[in-house]
Amino acid sequence: MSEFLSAQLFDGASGQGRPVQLRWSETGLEARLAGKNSAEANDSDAEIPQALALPSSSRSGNDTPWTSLAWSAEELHSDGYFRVAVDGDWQGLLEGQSREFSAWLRQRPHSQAIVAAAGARKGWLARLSGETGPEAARRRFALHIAVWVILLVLAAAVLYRFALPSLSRDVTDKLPRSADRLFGEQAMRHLPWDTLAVDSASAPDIRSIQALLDSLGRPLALPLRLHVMADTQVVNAFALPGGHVLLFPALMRRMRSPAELAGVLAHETGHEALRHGMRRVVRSSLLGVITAFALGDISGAGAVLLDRTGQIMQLAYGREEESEADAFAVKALSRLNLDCRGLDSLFAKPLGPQVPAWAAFLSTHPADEQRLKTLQKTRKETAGCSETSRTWVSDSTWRRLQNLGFSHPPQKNVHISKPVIVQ
Amino acid sequence: MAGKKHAYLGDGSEIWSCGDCGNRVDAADSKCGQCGATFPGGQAARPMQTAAASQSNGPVAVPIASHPSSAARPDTTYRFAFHGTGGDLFLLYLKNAALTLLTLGIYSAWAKAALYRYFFTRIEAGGTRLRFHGTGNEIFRGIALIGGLSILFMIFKGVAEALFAYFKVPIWASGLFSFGVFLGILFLVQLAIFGALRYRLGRTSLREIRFRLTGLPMDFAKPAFKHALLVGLTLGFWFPVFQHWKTQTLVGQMRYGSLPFRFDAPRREYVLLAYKGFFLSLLTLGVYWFFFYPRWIAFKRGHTWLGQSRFRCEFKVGEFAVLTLTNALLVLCTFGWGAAWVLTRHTRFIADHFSLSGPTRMEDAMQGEAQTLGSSSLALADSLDAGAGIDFGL
Repeated sequence: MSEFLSAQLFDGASGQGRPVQLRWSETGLEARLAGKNSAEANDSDAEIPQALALPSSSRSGNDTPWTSLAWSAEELHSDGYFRVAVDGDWQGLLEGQSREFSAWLRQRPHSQAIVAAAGARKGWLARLSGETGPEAARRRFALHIAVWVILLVLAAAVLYRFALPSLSRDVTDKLPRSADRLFGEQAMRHLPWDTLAVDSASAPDIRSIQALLDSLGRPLALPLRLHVMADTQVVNAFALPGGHVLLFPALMRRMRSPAELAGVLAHETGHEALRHGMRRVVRSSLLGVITAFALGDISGAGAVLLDRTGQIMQLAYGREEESEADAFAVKALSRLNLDCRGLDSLFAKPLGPQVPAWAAFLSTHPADEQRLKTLQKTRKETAGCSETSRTWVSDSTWRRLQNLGFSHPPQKNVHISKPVIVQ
Repeated sequence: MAGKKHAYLGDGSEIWSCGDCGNRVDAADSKCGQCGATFPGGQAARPMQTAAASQSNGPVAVPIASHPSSAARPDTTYRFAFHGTGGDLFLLYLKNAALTLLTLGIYSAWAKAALYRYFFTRIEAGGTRLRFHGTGNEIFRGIALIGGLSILFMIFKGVAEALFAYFKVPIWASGLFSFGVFLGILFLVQLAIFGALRYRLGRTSLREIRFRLTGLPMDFAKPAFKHALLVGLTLGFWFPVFQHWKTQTLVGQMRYGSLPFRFDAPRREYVLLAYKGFFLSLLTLGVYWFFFYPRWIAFKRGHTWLGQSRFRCEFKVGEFAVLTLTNALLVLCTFGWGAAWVLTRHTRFIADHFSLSGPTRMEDAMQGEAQTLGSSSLALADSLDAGAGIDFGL
């Protein structure tokens, strides 16, 4: 190992590097001007701009005095590349490449203290104090990878389980209701189904469902709009932000009583009243933005913000939100003195084997044991929720509603006439 | 407008540039071909030795070269290298992703700065390494600004759409509005390309000398916008012409300290080569691309200059094909986790075949004037998906 290390000094005035030699002394790092490097071989000193000239006390020559450097650590790479900022008589950056650099520093007395005093980063000290062989480097690398993988997984879990739900709730609460309407309108435009064309005979029947929705929404000043869809394959009902309640005729056809429909409508009203749809949109957007940021893709984050509406129907609610909507439904129905056992009855018995899973109300509203228990508990605790409740629709109307959309095949995705949105 | 007085220390040969926009001009020119600036007294260029005379009004052309002994100067070759490793970069990716998730995305600005710093400090040019001076704080400010503007834009768009619906504005009128918005964004993309390049160059140094981009963003964005419209009108056929113009303009405005960059590929040759590469690659289902890419890079870099020295980046079809195919396998077999290794392998390959050679020396560069930089263009460029990536396709 040589006594000195070679480096180049760049003073920031020109690209001309001045070759220098470095050494440790009792006082710290010292430097002196070395011989010319090959790049300078054809230039005379006279051509070097005055700004580059080092202090006269450190002009080149074997008897050149050593200059003490005030320095701070900038970079030390594992391949021996080092960059050190100097300030004082000499100003600029010292750069060099030496595989022996860390060993050279380590073997000098008090070098670690001096390095630390010079504002070195932790990486420097780690490299100086530890082993420097390839085996040690591999071990350190594996350790770092393991630590960061664990941290990444933990970060993702904390984010998904705790931070996102509460953040999305807060953000949604801050958003005005007009944002729900804006998103709802956008989502309605992206629907893959047509609205059912309603003739004059069935319009009064559909108005009776709308009347129930109006009753459910009135105490909360929540305007709700019913959309009966034309697709007879999908057995579903759901709400979109902005008060849109979408009902598929096949769901009504498979129901056993008007109380089940009232239960479903009250449940969807609950999602809307509690802004679950908007909360999901916000949560999904936040997740998309953060993931895009994490992957270093800001343009992706922009795209996520701009295009959430198309995916709104794929955003399933969580168990907690379903239970909240159930509880809302039971209370709302009991307030109207309506039979509030509809949801229990709907969940208790499957809708039929012929319904594909993706199209069924139960697949988008999974009813596990816990949810059923919660539902029954809420029902029992709610005053006025009795079996002798009034019905909201006559038997004859209910029979016609169950055949709605099935009388004029084919109905699937076909406009019979201009779609009518029943208010 | 008073011309900028660049004190160029060059390599000696007679090259002149406009004091205003930095465009290369001939000694006999009385007007700059690029920015239209006229040189006073009908005299095109004033030698640097008469710099006192050039203190007069109006832009002046100043010689880039004035080194007394340059005529006899031998060529110097600078080689390039990349010292990054896939493992290190992978570790950085992991760290960035974890901290970004933990901070709900806020750390992404610092992650970006760390990534740039990682790459730049591992690129060696002529024995010394690049240095990135940008900070996460700066980039964060840029992202915050663009984020705020994006929200304002979304509100504006939402209000406009609601108004259209309320007043039952015909579909063609709302379509016209959307088209207007699209044109606005297209213009912003051009500004962003310029701004992002200016920021990255202005925050990069080599041998403590900063890179920079001269000229004004609007002077680039206006013609670039016209080019971009032509690309749309010609169904993409104008794209190579646009790329050629963009490269020539931006490279022509790049500086390393006082040393100017230059791109002198003939437009006809550039465009024909691009067409040939595109269509033959299409016809051969991508096979021709392996032959085209090395030639394309060699052509572009062979026409790029720093002062009087020329860049070269030449490699054989076989070695490039092996690199690309193994990289593709690496990505596929690791389900994308090998991206860090792919990126470092590719960068190392390009750097190993990259060189600068000629009478101009990096040592000749003198520190140029400082630039005031905003990082918002960088964020804008990213948010609009323009100019992303390290090499800007120049």
